[in-house]
Amino acid sequence: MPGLIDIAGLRKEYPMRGGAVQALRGVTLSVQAGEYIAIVGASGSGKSTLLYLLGMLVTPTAGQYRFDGKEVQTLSDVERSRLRGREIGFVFQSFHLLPQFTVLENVLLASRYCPPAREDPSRRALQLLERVGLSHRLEHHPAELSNGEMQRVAIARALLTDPRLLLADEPTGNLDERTGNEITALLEELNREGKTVILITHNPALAGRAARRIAIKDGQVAA
Amino acid sequence: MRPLGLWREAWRNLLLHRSRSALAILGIIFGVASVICMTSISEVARRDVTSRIERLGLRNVIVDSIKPQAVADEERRDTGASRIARYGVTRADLEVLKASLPQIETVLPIRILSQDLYAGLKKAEAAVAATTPDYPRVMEHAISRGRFLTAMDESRCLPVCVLGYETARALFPLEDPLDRFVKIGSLPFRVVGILSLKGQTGTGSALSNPDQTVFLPFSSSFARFGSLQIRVGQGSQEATQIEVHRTVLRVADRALLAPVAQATLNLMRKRHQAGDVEVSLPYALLEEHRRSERIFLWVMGSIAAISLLVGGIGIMNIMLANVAERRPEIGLRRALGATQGEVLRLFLGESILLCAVGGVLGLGAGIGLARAVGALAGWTVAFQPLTFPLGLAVAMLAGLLFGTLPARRAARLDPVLALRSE
Ligand SMILES: Nc1ncnc2c1ncn2[C@@H]1O[C@H](COP(=O)(O)OP(=O)(O)O)[C@@H](O)[C@H]1O
Ligand SMILES: [Mg+2]
Repeated sequence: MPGLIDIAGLRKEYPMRGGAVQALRGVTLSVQAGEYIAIVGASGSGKSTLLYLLGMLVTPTAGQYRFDGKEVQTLSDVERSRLRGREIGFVFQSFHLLPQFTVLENVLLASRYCPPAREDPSRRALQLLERVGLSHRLEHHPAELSNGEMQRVAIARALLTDPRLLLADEPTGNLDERTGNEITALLEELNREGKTVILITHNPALAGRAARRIAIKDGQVAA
Repeated sequence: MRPLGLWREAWRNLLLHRSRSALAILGIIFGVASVICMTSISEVARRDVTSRIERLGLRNVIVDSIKPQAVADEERRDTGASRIARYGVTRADLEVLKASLPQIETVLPIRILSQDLYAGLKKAEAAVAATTPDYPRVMEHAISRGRFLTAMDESRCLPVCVLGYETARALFPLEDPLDRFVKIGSLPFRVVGILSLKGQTGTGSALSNPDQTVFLPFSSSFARFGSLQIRVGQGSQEATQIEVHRTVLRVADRALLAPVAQATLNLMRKRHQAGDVEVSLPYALLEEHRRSERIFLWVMGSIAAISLLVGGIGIMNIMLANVAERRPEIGLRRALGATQGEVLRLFLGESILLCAVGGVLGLGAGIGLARAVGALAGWTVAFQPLTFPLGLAVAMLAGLLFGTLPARRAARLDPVLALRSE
């Protein structure tokens, strides 16, 4: 049965002066809609490369990638960007909130390129910010927030277009344990509501809570 | 609330680095300001020169008597001896011109006398010109009060005169000059009229300001002052005999100007082999002036282009710095679904907006600067309205041109690398 994501023989090579770096050496895996997956592995093993490949921000050197039945490699930059904007939400270790915008504007930025089809984006942004407990900080700038609050804003932003897939690259890497747990709980809750979540983590406890774990070693899926 | 549009977002991004943005547009401000300032000043100069030439009469051919090389050489040798220098257009020439060139409607002679003008004991800084009744019509100069010289004044060599506007004011600040007597040299002349204010005309020292001139009948100048003009220098006495300093030929139709000028030149070359006569066409002067004006515009345009180039390089520099600094933002926007084209447009929009702001400030600065220069130099400042939208458009074009490289760099950035750089 075809999943949300099907990749086969995916390779990624970074051409470097001293010879190409093999970041991924043939990865094959399927992800069903609604899964909660933790990617684990040593630093430099290729986890982020895999995640961004799934997020269509990296073009593979070889291999196949089918997202929701669409061959991603055959899409144009515009089609791929629109698909990414609508169907995939990103959460980063360092949040990536823009300092020139307020909390509300940062969340709304997600509708700048892919406006949600049905709902008014600002109403949805307000709902999401309320859900992550930040409705009282709408007009604040990111610099005035704590790390945990920034990550909540980033999650609200990732959810604005109501994507099916959430990709998180060490979302708790810059947070203390308690806040990290809160963020993880939020992601698990979103998964229970139907979002497919794939996250990279170094924290064995968090990885342990995931229903499925994928270990990456030297650019390959380890058994 | 909606997500911000391209321009408002670009504005906010620029405000993030206010002082950097402000410094970046200095070049553009100066570029546009100098364009506005230079065009307005050249516009002032153009209007001035053009009207001076036009006041000479665009339907006239001008024949001037000039000092021939031989006379000038002899003067320089300065032998101390007394001599008489005879040159220039004569009354006989006038008759020949009238007889042989029927296309000439009027032949107007002007003779300058080196005499002083007094009212009582008050001396006026004025040229003394002898001319015929045709003067006001040929030179398009209106009478303000009284009358001009008449045919009767001319035929009877009467001692009457007409004052230029400023001369009348200078000699008679309080009284009415009409019917009063002035002295030209030592001879009394009755004032019969005053000319209206005209303004400076073209070239030719003694003839350039008709407002500071007294006019007497052409015939009277010979009858009362003779045909020799004697100047006493150190140890020498110099006499010159110039019968007509300037002759203005009025033709009936502009189309006849060039042929009449050519025919006059041929005629005068034959009669004056010493090279003591010069023929000029105000109309041709105007054309020539327009040509040099076009060259001036090209030069000015190049200066403006260079300053905008420098300004544009400044913009490019700042935008490259912006792109480098905002790499994570670029990666994030790509993650949020921005295409390469949308990233390109964002940064291009920022550099165009930056230059537009610089352009608007430059317009203001240029207007202010031109006004200040005008106030200092005593000019009325004239702006060509077209320069405003043009200046702004050129500034924005510079933004587009010099923003392209940084914007393309932003668009081509590998989003993953961009998101990684922290
Ligand atoms: N843009 C890039 N250019 C060159 N090498 C890269 C690039 N991105 C990742 N790599 C290399 O690929 C390998 C995998 O990196 P990454 O996917 O970030 O691993 P991880 O996230 O597991 O730490 C590393 O050796 C890294 O140096
Ligand atoms: Mg990583």
